[in-house]
Amino acid sequence: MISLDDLTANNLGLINVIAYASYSDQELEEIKESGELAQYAYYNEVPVGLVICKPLQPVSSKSPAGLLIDKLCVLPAYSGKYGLEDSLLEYVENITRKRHLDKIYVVTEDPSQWHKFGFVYEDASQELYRNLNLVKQGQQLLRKALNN
Amino acid sequence: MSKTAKYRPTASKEENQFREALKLYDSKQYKKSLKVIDGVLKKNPHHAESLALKGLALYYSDTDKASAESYITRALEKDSTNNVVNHIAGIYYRAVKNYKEAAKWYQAAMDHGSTNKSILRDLSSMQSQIRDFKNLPKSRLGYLEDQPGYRANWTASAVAHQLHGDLANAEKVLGRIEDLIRDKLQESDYFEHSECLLYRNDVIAQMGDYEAALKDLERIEATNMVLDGLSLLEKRADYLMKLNRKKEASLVYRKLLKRNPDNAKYYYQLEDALGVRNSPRVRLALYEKLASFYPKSDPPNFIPLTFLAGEEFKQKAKNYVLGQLRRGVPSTFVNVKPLYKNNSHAATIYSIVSEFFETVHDQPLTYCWTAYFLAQHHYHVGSYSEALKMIELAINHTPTLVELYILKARIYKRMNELDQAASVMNEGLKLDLQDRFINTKTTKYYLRADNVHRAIDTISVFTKNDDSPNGLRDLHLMQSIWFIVESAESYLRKYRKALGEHNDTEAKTNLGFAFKRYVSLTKIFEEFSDDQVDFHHYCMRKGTPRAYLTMIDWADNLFDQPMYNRVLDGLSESVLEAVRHKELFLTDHGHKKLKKEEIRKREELVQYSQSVAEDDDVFGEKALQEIIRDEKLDVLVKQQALLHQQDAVFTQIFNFRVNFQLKKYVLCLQSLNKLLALDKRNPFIGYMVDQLRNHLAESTPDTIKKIVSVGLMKNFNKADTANLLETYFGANNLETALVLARMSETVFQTRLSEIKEKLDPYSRGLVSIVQLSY
Repeated sequence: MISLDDLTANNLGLINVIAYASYSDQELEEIKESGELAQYAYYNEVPVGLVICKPLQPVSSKSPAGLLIDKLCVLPAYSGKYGLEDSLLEYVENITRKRHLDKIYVVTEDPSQWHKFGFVYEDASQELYRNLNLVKQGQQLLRKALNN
Repeated sequence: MSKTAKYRPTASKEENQFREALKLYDSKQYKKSLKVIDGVLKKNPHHAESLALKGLALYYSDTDKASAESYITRALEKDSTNNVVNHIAGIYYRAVKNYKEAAKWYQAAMDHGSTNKSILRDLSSMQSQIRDFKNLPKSRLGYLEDQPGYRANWTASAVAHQLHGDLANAEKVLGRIEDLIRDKLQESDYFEHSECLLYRNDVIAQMGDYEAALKDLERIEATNMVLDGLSLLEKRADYLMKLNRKKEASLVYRKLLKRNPDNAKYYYQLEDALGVRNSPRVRLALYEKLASFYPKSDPPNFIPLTFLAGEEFKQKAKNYVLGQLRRGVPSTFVNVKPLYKNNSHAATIYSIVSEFFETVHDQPLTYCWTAYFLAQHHYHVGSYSEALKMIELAINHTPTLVELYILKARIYKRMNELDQAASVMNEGLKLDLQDRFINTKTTKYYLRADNVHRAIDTISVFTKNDDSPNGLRDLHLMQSIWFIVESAESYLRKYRKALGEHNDTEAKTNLGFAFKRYVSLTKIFEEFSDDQVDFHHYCMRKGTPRAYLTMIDWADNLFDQPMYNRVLDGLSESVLEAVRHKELFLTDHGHKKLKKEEIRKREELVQYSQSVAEDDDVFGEKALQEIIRDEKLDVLVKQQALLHQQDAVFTQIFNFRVNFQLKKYVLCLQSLNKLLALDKRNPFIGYMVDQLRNHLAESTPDTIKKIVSVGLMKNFNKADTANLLETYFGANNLETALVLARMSETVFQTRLSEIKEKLDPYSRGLVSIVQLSY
């Protein structure tokens, strides 16, 4: 019922529709170029969800601190019922591990919906995140540590 | 062309030189060949054979194609009984696709004593191409006599007999070769043998003796040499039905159903074999049984819906429709659409589905496809705003399904919001750029919105563009008929709109484009017809006489297809419009006054709009000017000859319009009377009567006027205007409105306004555009 798949040059138009966003053509191209870091979720072969992430790269360090989920969304009619979010998250965890990283981050205005997936509050003012400007007014940084 | 080399040289020196030239020609060294011929002709300018060969060599060497024919004709004038000259003329006319002349000269070559029998083969190809079936058997048999060792020649002779209507001899020839070859068949012959056995069986059946046909069928089946098992079964069932052995036939139909339970035709045929068509109870029981045998097939579930009523219909319809919606079948509505002819069925289905819709909020895809179904329902019954509401519900729910956008666009189109329709289609396209279907649809919708450039840019994603700015040339090369005809129609609308805005330059450009596109379409159909040429020989060699005869039938009706009617309708419209508005083309719009910027733009348009490489008349301007000047309408007259079905409605209308412009009023009268006999309420009858009564050219001689008015008396003596309106313009449909749009008298225009009120907005829009140029 649920399956995941890569983005292709021919279906980038789905991103703005699923995320109710307005990425420019160039941004869409960059998302596609990030390869495995972006993924669609299909419910009975209909695309209904998507995740986009990128490495969280501290200024002071050479290696990334973990993966940051930029967007994880599922169309309202399909959200929270069929485990689409879980599949997308599991996917992110897998590629995080694959890259020998152990933390997933997300910046959100609504932390409560992330707690159930094991995300906890993370102080964004730590030295590690200095100058990254991760959180804006009203947002929180959350973190999930993966145990290998 | 190596056959020409077989001619024996005579002693003279000229002849030897001619032989040399012929050899050079045969090895495709056309220029060298020309040099030698010129040598001969210098000494003897009357040497017919050399003159003919020079024509042929000129044609093939690309040096001077234009004067090639004059050499051929001169050679024929000098010595029209020389079989070498005749043969060369045949080859030449075949190359220039004048098949009738080619046949004539090939025949002449044989009549004048050529011993080259292979000419007969080319002759029979030409005769088949021009459908000279009277003489075809003679040449096929002649060649068979020369080369009896090939089965192809026997098959060809049989086909020739059949095409000439001589089934008995066709059968005899097939039987004889079958006997001769029986013990000598190789594995590589098996397919040909199988086809020939079945073909012979077809011939026997066509003679009307089904008993004999059935017996033959059993015989060939027993040989185990027939590879097409489906044909064996279908034929058997057919013959048994014709022999009234229905019980046996029903068993065969059951076998066929087992092979393919999705072919609806077999179900109906089984019904007929069992004789249950008129007893609904038995019929229903039959289908219930069949549905249990073939649970995955559509026909046994669908067909009962076409004959049930009331509660029974409701129950079955419910199972059928909801079953599909639950499975998320996008085409559910299309499947039940045939049932919508019955209003009460439509209402029943609607109530079933809308009730169901209330219960599926927790099943997202079912919810979505059900909303899609309901939107189609509203669209179909003409409630466009309801339809729009419903499809928007679906799109907001699941905005990633392309089908939903297609329907939304279609609704906007019907509401005559054409730009909006195209842009919605384009939104759908963006979801899946590699989907050719949605690309095609988007292209078409841009054309309907008369945004030709966006259309071309959209479809060019899928064409081979090489060094042209877009795919237009490729689309012409690939014979993309739908695209070219839609763009022609779009240009025609753009022309009328420009005329309405008094923008003469725009009007002229667009009318020219429309004309060019229509001419391209006629050329594509001509190519289709020419494509047959190779198959007259090839199919015999491959042993596919049955497929060959299907092709012959197809080609016989090629120019009578609805698509070609559409092409001719547009072609005649664009030509007649140019003639009616000749001031657009004959007054100089001051090209010299163009500013630099405008010149650049125009050059860009030329590049953008070229349908073939190096076209020197991209805007169709020269061609239309020529047509206006010479007043003979050759481009249309030529088409009249291609319409085979003299008894088709369209043929009468087309002939009338062309002949009326040519002031051949007596012929117009004939078309009118034929149309009356074919379709006695056709709105064009009213148009024709009005034209012949009130709009003859001033210069028409009194005698002709008399003939016409007497001619009209016969059928239309009592038909005054009120009567015409009532009889021919009573229907509130688009067809009637489009005819009235061409009639200027107030009474007709008043009636037109009435009809327009009742049309859907899109059709109304189309009529209004036509009105702009009348």
